[in-house]
Amino acid sequence: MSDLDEPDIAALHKAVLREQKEPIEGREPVPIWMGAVFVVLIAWGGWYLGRYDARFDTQRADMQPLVTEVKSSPPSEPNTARGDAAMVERGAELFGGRCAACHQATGKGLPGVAPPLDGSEWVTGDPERTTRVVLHGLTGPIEVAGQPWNGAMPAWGATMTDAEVAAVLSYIRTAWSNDAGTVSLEDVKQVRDAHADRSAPWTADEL
Amino acid sequence: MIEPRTLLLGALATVCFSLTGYVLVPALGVETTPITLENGRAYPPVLSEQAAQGREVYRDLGCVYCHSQQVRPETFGADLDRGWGRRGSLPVDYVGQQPPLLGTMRTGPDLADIGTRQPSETWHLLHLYDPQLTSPGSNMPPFRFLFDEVEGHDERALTLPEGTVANGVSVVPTARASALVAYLQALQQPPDVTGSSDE
Amino acid sequence: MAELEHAQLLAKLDGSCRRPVLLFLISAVVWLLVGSTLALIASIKLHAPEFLANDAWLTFGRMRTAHLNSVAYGWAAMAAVGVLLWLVPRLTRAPLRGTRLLEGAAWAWNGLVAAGVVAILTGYSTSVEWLEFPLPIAMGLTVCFAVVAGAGLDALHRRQVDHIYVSLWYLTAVMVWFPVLYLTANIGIHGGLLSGVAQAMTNWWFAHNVLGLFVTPIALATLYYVLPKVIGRPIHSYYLSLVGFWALALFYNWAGLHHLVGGPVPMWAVTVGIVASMMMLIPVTTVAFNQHMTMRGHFHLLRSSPSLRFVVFAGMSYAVVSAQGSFEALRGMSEVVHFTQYTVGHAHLGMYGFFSMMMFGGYYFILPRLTGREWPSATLIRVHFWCSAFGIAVYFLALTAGGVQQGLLLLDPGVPFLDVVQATLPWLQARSWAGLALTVAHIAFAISVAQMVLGLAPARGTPTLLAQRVTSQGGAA
Ligand code: HEC
Ligand code: HEC
Repeated sequence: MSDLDEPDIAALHKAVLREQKEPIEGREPVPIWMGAVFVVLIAWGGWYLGRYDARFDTQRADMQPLVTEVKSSPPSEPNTARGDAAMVERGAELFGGRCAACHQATGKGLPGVAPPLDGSEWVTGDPERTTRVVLHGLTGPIEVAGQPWNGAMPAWGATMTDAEVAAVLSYIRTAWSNDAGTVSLEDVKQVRDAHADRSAPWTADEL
Repeated sequence: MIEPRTLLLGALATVCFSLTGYVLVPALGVETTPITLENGRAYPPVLSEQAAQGREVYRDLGCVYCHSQQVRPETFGADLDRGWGRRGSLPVDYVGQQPPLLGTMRTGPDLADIGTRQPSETWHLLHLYDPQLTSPGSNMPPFRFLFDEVEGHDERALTLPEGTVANGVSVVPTARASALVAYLQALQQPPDVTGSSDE
Repeated sequence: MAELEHAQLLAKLDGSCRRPVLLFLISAVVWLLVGSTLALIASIKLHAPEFLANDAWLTFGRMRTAHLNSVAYGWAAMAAVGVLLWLVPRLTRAPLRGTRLLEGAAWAWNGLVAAGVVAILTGYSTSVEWLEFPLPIAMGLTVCFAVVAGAGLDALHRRQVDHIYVSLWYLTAVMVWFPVLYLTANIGIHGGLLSGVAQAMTNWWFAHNVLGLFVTPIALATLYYVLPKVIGRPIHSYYLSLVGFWALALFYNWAGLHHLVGGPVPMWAVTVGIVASMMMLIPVTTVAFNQHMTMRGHFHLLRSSPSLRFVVFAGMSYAVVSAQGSFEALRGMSEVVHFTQYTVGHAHLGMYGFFSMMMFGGYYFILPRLTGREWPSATLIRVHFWCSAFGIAVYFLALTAGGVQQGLLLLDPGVPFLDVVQATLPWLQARSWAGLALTVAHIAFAISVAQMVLGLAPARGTPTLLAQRVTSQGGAA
């Protein structure tokens, strides 16, 4: 680093000697078109601010209705009155969010994680039994499509509404190669009420 | 002709202006105390000690660089349709969080409500040990270093597919892994958070 | 012989700041190499998750964060400070004072960034984006920057010029802005004063401003200095510079909240952030137009002058990245691309295509004047330029296309998440190749710089040019 310590002024001169003058500014005016563009832009900005300022209410989150309005319209409530197709579609979304992590998007399950739903007699069989599995969970040894399984299926009764459970059941019963009927909100409600005091997961023997 | 004084004062004024708007006003105006829900519980609930430790693990491993924790509202994006939450996230969900782990990337799914969506401890442990076991094709890194390999049988050992580890070896979650999962299970944003402020 | 006298003055000014500037600039190059290595590892991990997966300190979340902080506070900040300390004496005609202290600040800066990076790798990151260093380290950096700002403002106070040139406006403002931003954010966030979404807002107020009110102004100061200096012609318009400067000061400050569009933060704040982002089109248009009109008729010089080539590339990137950023902030655009790799592409076009390329241009201009040497090899410079330009172009295009695709897929709830992941992988692979090109560029650059400072480069007194000059005018390199 000897070069760092000893500034050789003569050497430094070499580079500066060939330099151009220190920079200065010209005095050209701002073009009119540019001024016009800026005016339009600022006008847009004023409009946008007025449109989306939410009255500068700091409690109001971006793109959200107020908290009190959220309550009156729970967004995830599927409307069963819309008919089966819409319900199954909503069921597919719920499946993607809640079930696919274990049973996989293909419904084929994954060794060591969860059994298949595609072609499972647990899914296409008695809808009451499937509803109980989803509401309260399932644990211990079972057999699915001839294969033994021994895992723990979580309970969804606490975090899914009856309509949501009906939607997801309708989806898994009709998706892939499955071709059983859909399940209605009332069916689910009946099962839930019948086992209102149940908190532990079911075992295969009980079902 | 611009004078240095104009520059210095102008620079100071502009930055103080935005500091007022984006730092001071929110600091004073945004909810900072938990609310009491209609059922009498405080929201957001205090994390258990284990979950709070798990939050630190989440922080120090940088999960936030792949996972957001903010559910977009109904009118914006498809988060609710993907099942990532039951409503859009609100300021009250983050009361007391230091830091709030909102995140800006979704290389992985949003985790604001993961505790609701994936309640299973077994799944989380398996997934952290090796994401390929639960989610083939994932680009989430394995966190094997959060697990111990011990000789012989162990109560808490993960059930792994044949051949993942040598015969007779058990894979046991460390305290850090268990804490992290406790935190993930605690990440929930319940649908109804109307209530009164304690203030 | 007024010209000789003028040259002697410049040599004296350069001599006054020589040691601290060289220290900052050399350290920055070392951090650039460190940061590039970390970047490559992090990038590969995103498409090959088993790569280096067995140790906590090598995990993606830490590598990526160590990369960001080493390039932001090691490379970018140190290069920016180096250039600032060189420009200030030239623009004020006042020799720099306090150089011993400044050298101390440079060493301390290196130590602090190293400590911060180690802290991140060993699990002490705060996980607050752009503020991952623990509080004591951030406080140390604040002190170092205070020394820099003190020396700069001292020179400003002793200025020997009547008219303050536009570059100096930006530099003066930076010396006020950065300490205010960095102190407020660190104390507010890590000092326990803020929590919840208020903290997130402060976080993005800071993180965007560290780009807008720290690195951008220093890069623009470089542009406004090097451009007219190399081509030997005044900047087109003082008035455009004026509009550009004050519009930046006013609007950039408020742009940061576009990082939280659709998030759980007050709607008005997001709206203000979006409007301010769109208003950034004003300063950007003025700078781009000013640059273009100044360059007009001189584009042939891009063939020969290394500094001009980098600086003009950077200026063009600035126009592109800023316009992109303005529209990206709009809710409709954000709904698709926020949370995706698109934003990563955007960030790199800004920090690399604009800022880093500008700094490279600065180095090519400054180092011959501080070392008394000429750049050792035109080939090395060419390798540097083309690998950088090609690398950042591929990087940007891959992540922009991939990010839009990722965003659209995410908006379709019928597409399973793992399919979205699969769709992004080829783009992430392309990004790793681009990163490799950038790393090659940095190695070429580092070799050149090393030869300059170790006295291995020639001292012949004529500039190293990339092509024969068409005009007889020698000009500056
Ligand atoms: C944590 C992973 C996990 C999640 C999430 C999960 N399951 Fe299961 N599921 C299992 C396991 C494990 C079993 C087998 C239980 C046993 O062995 O006793 C199972 C069994 C079942 C069964 C009966 C067996 C079969 O294969 O047909 C049905 C039906 C079922 N799950 C439906 C669902 C639905 C619907 C959802 C989403 C609401 C869901 N599961 C979410 C793990 C999971
Ligand atoms: C490189 C990016 C990356 C990092 C870092 C990362 N993840 Fe993930 N994560 C993913 C991806 C991609 C998925 C989706 C596929 C899967 O399930 O693995 C995912 C999924 C998840 C899920 C399941 C989400 C769901 O909806 O089923 C959880 C829980 C999770 N990650 C937790 C973590 C935790 C905890 C950390 C930090 C220790 C972490 N992740 C770090 C990318 C990442």
